[in-house]
Amino acid sequence: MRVTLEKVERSHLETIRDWRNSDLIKNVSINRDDISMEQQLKWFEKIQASDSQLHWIIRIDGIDAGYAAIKDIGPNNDHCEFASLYIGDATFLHAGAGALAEFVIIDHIYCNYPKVTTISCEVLSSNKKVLQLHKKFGFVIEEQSKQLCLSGKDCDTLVKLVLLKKRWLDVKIRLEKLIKY
Amino acid sequence: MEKFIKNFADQLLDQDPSGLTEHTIFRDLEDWDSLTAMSVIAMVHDEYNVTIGVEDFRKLITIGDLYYYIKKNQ
Repeated sequence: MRVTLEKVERSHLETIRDWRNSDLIKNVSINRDDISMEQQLKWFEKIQASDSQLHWIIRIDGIDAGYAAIKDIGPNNDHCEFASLYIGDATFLHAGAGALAEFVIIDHIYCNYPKVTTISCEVLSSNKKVLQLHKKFGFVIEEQSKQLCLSGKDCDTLVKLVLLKKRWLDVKIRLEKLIKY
Repeated sequence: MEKFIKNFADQLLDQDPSGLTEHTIFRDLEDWDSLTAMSVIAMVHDEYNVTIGVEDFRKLITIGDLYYYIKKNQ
């Protein structure tokens, strides 16, 4: 399985919207409202104008499979944040694709933005599998006090995790033995 | 099968092999996630010299399914 990252283009918008509006992704998202095409286009114009964000289609073996976004990133920033990471194509679930994508993205950031020393992310506490996965990548919980009460759902807690670069370098050595497959 | 179950359990955190059988649905295990999937695929390659593709791996449900897939493809 080979993961590559491709910059989001206009031609990807419908696919991203389909993934984002699916129950698979929506039910673990902070914002659970459906996204209209009009909203999607406005979002695309906004991200194109930003120089502190990265937006990628995650391609697996040449097939569009997921989406990832990083915010607050730049050549002089010491910190950035995962804004989004998911495998939207269900045919790639349950076989290691998410972990491989996370590895590729984290390594891309730390290799290409040498001033970045921490990466953070936020996950709903109810999303236990993703929390577990991030911890295996070396993320540690920094804060979990922010309560979110989402429409139609019970209240949840937003968990903030951080990954230090020096921790990543240790974890990477171990994980590299797995990803070659 | 017993040795395979032990090799499988070694890919999970704090998993006692005695708690696993060939009928165990591995994706229901508490420690199962995307990285565990990668660990298992890597273990199968290293220990049994069998490479499992994404499509084939998705069809495997139990530890027994995994074991017999390896046997068939060795």
